[in-house]
Amino acid sequence: MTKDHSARVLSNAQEAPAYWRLRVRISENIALRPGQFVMVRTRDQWEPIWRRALVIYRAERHAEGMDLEFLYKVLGRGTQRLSRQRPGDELEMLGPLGNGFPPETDPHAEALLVSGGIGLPALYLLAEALAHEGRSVRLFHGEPTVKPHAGSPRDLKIAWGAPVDLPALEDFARVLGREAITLATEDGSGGIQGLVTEALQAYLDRARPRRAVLYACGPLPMLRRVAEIAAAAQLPAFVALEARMACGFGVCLGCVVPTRSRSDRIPHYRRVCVEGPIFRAEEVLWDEL
Amino acid sequence: MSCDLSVEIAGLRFKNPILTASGTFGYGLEFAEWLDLNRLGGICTKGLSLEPMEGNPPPRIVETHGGMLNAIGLQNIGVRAFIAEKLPRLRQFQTHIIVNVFGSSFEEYLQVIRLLEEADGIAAYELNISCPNVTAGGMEFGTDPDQAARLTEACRRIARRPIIVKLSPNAGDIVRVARAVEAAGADALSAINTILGLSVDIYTRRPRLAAGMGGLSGPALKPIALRMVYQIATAVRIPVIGIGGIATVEDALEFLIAGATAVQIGTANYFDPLASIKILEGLERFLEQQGIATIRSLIGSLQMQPCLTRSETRA
Repeated sequence: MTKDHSARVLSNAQEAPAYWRLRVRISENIALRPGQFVMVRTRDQWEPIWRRALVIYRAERHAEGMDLEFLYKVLGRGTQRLSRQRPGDELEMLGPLGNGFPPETDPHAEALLVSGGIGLPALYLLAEALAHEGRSVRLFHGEPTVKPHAGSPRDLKIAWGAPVDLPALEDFARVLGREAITLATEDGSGGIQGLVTEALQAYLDRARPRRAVLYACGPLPMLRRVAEIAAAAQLPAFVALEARMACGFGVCLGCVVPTRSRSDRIPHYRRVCVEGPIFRAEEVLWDEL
Repeated sequence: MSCDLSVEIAGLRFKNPILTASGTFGYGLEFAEWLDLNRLGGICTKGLSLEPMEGNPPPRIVETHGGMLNAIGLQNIGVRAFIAEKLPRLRQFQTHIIVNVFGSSFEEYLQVIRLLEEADGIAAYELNISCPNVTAGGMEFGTDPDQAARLTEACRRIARRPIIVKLSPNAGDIVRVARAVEAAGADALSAINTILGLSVDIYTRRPRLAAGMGGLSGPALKPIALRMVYQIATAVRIPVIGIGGIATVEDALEFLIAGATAVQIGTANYFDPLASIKILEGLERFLEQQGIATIRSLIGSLQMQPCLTRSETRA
């Protein structure tokens, strides 16, 4: 159930230049929808005062409860503090929160997953669920670069045309198959050179899927472009949005996004934490974001 | 020994002095899945206006050291929807429902109260004359003692329920405003609302809130709030409800000792939805450990004289 879970850290380390991987154990088996998140703080944390929102990346049920995995980028004071937590440390984990991706209605539609950077973890449980249903799923993932760095393992396999230091993409490959994944990098260090939205557009131009649904998570310019592409191709699209959140459960009203209202005169503000984080792309007033 | 936590404000008996602050607790019902609302002394609702309000564009909040700034802009569902959709469930809980009232004009405050007067299950009104985040009304009434008094008097005249006036720290002299609204018939005061603040993005050289400035809340605010509550409590005869950065039982106790009859928990609800209950349990433990029979003996017990020296203590 949704509550403030005590989560024991099993592992927490930087896995690739792009992100850290955190694995925790909670004592309860909870129902999750793909795209839901938790609000996390460390024990006795006074600074920074807000919890941090983390989307649930993977989940594994077992006799003692449940293991949850998260991928995060160290960006500020909150994630810095999180990155210092060691195995055995306890985290306060409020959740699961948010609406999650809607259950699919059209079983014949191809699912096109689009992610940029640290937007990737929001799509794993969805990819897993869709693949489990036997649906056709493709993932388009974009990074500025996937160039190995000094700390990268020496024995990186050649994947997507280069030694790609992005183990999370291998998690997706195990579920979807490597051929279902298109990698785009801005510097051409792996996959195809260019933006992920260009890769998506190229696929739509080439394959012209008659029935497809887009699911996207990533930086705002990428999401805006996905919304445009979906509108032009007349395909439904769902986007996972991010926002500054003080509470994560609907009371601070800080995380709102402007969405279309009935009158269309003034935007209707909806909360990313409760009415989201998943929105239909055409509901969002992208020009006002 | 069982300790007596009850307090009285404006003829209302509160089972304990732990209330939740307006704007941080939704319409109360949002917290029903986290905690037992029946345990709280009272709940102050999100500020309600006559018509629904969409609020300010985002970004509306920013984290600061020990606190946060907000410029929500009083987004709320409007008083009619509150009465129709929230109040019927909310009033079933055994706690005092205090409805926070906001108007963008003098007349609007009265209209909101008139509508609420027809509804059951409300214990008191809290007049929000101190919101820094709207262009009209709000803080204008809170920073000018004469305006604040006129508004209080007009609301007092039409309301059968107690009126608590929530004071703004952005007033030049908060004690003057407190005295003015007391003379105008306020039944109690609550203090303080947020302090107007600013946070700047150094790369874009723009404010980090879309609205520009916003109200500071959270632990960073506490010493200032405590000082103001002390000054107000010594200047008026009506009860004062302390608000401002309370996150622990020690914080709550400081406010009670400084003269607050009750306290409101605000920003702490965000990072810990159980904060109010944890503070309540801490209060029970403290009284028991200290052998204090009634919380009322703590209220206003602050000794402000210079401390005695060691030799004087021996003598």
